Amino acid sequence: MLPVYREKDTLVHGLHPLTALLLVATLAASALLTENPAYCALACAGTLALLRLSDTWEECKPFLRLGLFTALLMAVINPLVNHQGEHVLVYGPRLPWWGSLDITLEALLYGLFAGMRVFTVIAACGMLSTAVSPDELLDLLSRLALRSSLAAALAVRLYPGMVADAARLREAQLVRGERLADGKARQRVKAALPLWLSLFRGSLDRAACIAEAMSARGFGSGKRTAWRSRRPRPRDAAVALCCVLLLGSEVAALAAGRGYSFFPSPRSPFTEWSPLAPFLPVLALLMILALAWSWRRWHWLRSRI
Amino acid sequence: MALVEIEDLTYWYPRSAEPALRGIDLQVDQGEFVLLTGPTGCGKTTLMRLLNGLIPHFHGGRMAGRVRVEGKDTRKTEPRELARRVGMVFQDAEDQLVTTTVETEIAFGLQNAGLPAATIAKRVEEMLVGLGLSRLRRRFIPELSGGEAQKVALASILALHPAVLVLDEPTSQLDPLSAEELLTLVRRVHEETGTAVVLSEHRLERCYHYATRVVHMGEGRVAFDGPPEEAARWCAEREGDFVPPVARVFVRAGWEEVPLTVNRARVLLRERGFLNGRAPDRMKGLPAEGEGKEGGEAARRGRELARLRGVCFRYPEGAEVLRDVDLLVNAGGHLALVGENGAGKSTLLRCLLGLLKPGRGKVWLLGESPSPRELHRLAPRLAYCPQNPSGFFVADSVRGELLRTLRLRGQDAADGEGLVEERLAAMGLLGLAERDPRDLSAGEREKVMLAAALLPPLPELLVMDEPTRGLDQRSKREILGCLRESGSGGATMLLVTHDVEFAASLAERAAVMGSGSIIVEGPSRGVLGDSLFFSPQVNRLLGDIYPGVMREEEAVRVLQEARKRCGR
Repeated sequence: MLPVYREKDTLVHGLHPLTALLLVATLAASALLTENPAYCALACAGTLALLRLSDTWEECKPFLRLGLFTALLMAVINPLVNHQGEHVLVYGPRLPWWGSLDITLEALLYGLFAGMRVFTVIAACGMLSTAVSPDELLDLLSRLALRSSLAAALAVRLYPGMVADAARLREAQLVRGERLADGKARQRVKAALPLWLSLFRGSLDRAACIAEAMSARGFGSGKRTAWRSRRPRPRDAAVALCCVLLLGSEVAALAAGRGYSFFPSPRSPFTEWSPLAPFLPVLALLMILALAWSWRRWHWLRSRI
Repeated sequence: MALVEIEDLTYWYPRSAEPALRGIDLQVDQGEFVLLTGPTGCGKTTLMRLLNGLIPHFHGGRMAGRVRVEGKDTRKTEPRELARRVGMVFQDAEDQLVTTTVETEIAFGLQNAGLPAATIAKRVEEMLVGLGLSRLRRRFIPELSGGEAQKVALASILALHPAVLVLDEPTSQLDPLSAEELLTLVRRVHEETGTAVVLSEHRLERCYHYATRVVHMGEGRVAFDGPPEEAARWCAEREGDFVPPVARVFVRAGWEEVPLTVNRARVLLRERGFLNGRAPDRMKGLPAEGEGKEGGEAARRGRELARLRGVCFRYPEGAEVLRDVDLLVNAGGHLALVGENGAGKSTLLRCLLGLLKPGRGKVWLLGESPSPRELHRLAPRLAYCPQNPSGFFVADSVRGELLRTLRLRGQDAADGEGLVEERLAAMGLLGLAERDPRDLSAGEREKVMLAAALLPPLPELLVMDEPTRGLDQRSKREILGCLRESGSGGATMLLVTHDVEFAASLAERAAVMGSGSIIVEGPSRGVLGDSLFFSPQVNRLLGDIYPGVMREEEAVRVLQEARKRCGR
């Protein structure tokens, strides 16, 4: 299933685009700002649960695969380039200009943590692409940058067509006898290159046609008007409040110097927290998830917020 | 004052020495329905671009003469103002929709026009309700069917309340049902709102009778401008490709009257006492009732080229698309697959070619079980022309494309040049040999694709998906001739098509698909002749007297006979 927006009746789909943007930014920022793996895991689990509850899991799979691949790559690369930490798992050789190739437990854990951060950010981007109407979002942003937002809308619109064109081109060439999957990587690239060029050429042609159609509807010859603005609803206030709580508590923890470090040796991520510290972000996230869950099952609530 | 006035207009595209239009004088008045006809490349699209200011504002170029819309010179009028008065719908919905959902698409032009938000909201709602698009309001545009997308394109133009609606082959990418629906909608808009319509269309049998005026173009000039009946006679006598089949057969049979619809033609025949409920005697050489239903027997005995047995297929995110499909293609038995959009025809072809693996059932293609990795072994014996020729072309020139085909078939490059020259000459493509195939017209692209597919040695099986989509009658006739010649040379065709006229002219056998199954399969005279909507226009005209009449030449002979009997 293509990772594109489809209209659905879920809490995230029903949010004002500004609130949806705040929610996605909060989840991503929660993962990026914190050095505490427990906070990061909370943001990651919350994002995945929201994908499920907003019924966009299937559409988001390409994002999740990309996120997982990037996360694993970071987890593998970090111990090879970062040798800090007290607990050496593997003693490696010492290379000129590079130094020691020792692999430490701390570097490995930090790699996993960094991977989780990136995974969460990519998953949140997936939610933005699949659960927030690009038209509404871009209407919102177009007040700041019309042309860029229109280019982004066109990219979203044309992406499925381009995927279909690529599939058609590949199939026609296979039947003509092109060996696209045979041989070494270099041979495969050589066989596929003309197809990519043809696809690129086709996309340019299509772009020219769309530009003509836009011109035929008067685009670019005067000031445009905005026509639709979704009014904020109680659901927006509730989600925005949770986002502020979630992000605020994290910023407060950072400002209070309650950071976490994997080096020189890892400690329990909970030891640095005051008894109340985890309460607020967990509560905020649970409230969002509870709202999303109730939206699907509790008509009374859905009809009132 | 006319809505649109074109005075002595000649136009050159940028970097072109030859004018695309020469000395055009034309007027479009309020409430007119003008049908533009003419061969591909005659200047219809250029003329339409002039009407709403795309020329010169978007395309540039050089103009002599004048175009006025509601008295204003298009050169001196703002494009957004012109866009509000002259709305234009293009051929392919995929290439003209800009936003991601239906309602935002309808609002796009209104926003560009700078209308107040309340007016935009009202007009969006009006279009959604008026054109029956309400249920699609929030649908993601790439997931709409071709017909739905073209209706959205029409709605987005009508929302601007244009005085003139210009449609450039709006149904060329649609199946017959969606095409009919769209043209009916256009007619409704014309009749209910008085909006002037300028329509360019290849499926003339569907719209000729809607027109109040027909403008026939040739080589950048207006060749004929007059009422449809006169235009039909004029065209049928000179360029018979640009009138509905029913009018063409009457003119070719020497009748004075030129009916534009099957109904009018049948009334005419009845008035002359030819359709009086009694079947006339069998005419020599014409297939009589029942005859031909056993036809294709030779094809049935031919060598097996492709077979599907109990094939079922389901896409990962969808319902079952193929259900227990059994199909056999034997050498010499050209087979046409017809059926509505979404019936599973293209999926069936992809399963047959090994591009999709059936969930259940068996597929044999040229004696093998096909798979994407092994298809190259079948390339010398198999050719495939996909629905969209841009999915076929990879090389930068027509010649390069044909040479590439030979290379992929494993043929010697030294012999290649000669074979390619021969093939290009045989198909009248030598003049286009160095052109990029993607820059050619739809008919020329189809011919290039066929030229590549039919390079000698001829393939045993030629699989075609909608070979006549977007083609005018002349291109269809040329392609039909080329395919018949290849058929006599030993190639067998399997084609998926909505074009029943073409299917009846080419294929001995036909199969109708519906909701993933083969509903009926057999000789095409029997399958296509026994139906109301799957039959060619001439069969609908004469089918109850001569059920076997499927081709125009047969209908002409019947009408000549009828004329004689009626003493006219």
